[in-house]
Amino acid sequence: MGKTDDTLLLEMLRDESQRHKAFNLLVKDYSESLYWQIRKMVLSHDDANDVLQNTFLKCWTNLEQFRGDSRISTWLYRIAINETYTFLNKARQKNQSGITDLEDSMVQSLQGDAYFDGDQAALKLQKAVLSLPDKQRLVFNMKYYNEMKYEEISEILGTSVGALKASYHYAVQKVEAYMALEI
Amino acid sequence: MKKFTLNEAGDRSVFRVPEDYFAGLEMQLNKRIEVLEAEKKSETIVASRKRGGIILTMQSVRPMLYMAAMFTLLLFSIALVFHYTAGSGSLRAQETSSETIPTAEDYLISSMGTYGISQYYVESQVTE
Repeated sequence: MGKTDDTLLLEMLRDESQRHKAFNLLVKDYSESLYWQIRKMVLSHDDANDVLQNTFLKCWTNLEQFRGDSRISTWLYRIAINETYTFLNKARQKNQSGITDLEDSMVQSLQGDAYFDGDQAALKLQKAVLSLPDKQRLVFNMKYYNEMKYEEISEILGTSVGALKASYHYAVQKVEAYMALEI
Repeated sequence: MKKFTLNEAGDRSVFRVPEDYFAGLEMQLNKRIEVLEAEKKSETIVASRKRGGIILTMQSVRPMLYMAAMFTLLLFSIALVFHYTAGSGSLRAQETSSETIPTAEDYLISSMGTYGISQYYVESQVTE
């Protein structure tokens, strides 16, 4: 079953009596794709769940302000990305007093995570990806894992296609170099 | 050092999701929205009551009372200042007018000594 048409959703969002129904349709259509986008950044299912719910709650409180200047999916992705960055920044601040940095503690948590099925190589790959700066990691995830087109990524992030291609290219180089290192 | 390419990374789907997670997500979100809306409603009621002035406490009225008192004091001070400056001006005018025109008697008395003044007044009383 395909996604609900943007025009129809916009009409429903503008009508107060149908706003809740429109919101439920948004959750149905976009929760999975947003979840995986968030999960690849925060790694843990519990954290991804928190960020995803915050994303949709923010969407709910700002529904009246949405004017349809961009596609609904773009708008939702932007909220999800902002919520993810907020989460990661807070986690970094909390982790400041710790011995290991946030990325290391995230990988350590992943080792014992019930919802992670990867082997040591997969774990190492996650560590390699975590070594990238947040925005570059986001671009890498959107391209490598979600297989999104550069134009789609450009619309969401507001970055030019050329810059995204360069960012992804360097991200791949860094990850491959990290993986090639013999511990 | 062995070269690694991302193509060798293998299966990209190493993350799993709890069963029925997405099915239950809508319900969880709707519950949270109910709570959010209820909180927003109670905040709106409190805010509108304060705006309507239905709840008047001494704390809210005190600043206005202070301002009214200060204003009254200021007006009173201004009135007092104006009253005295206007009144003393007319008095001065009177005094000045009396001072500026001495009488013949004044000249006579000023030329007499103390004995002369007392004799002058005693003689005038005897005459009367």
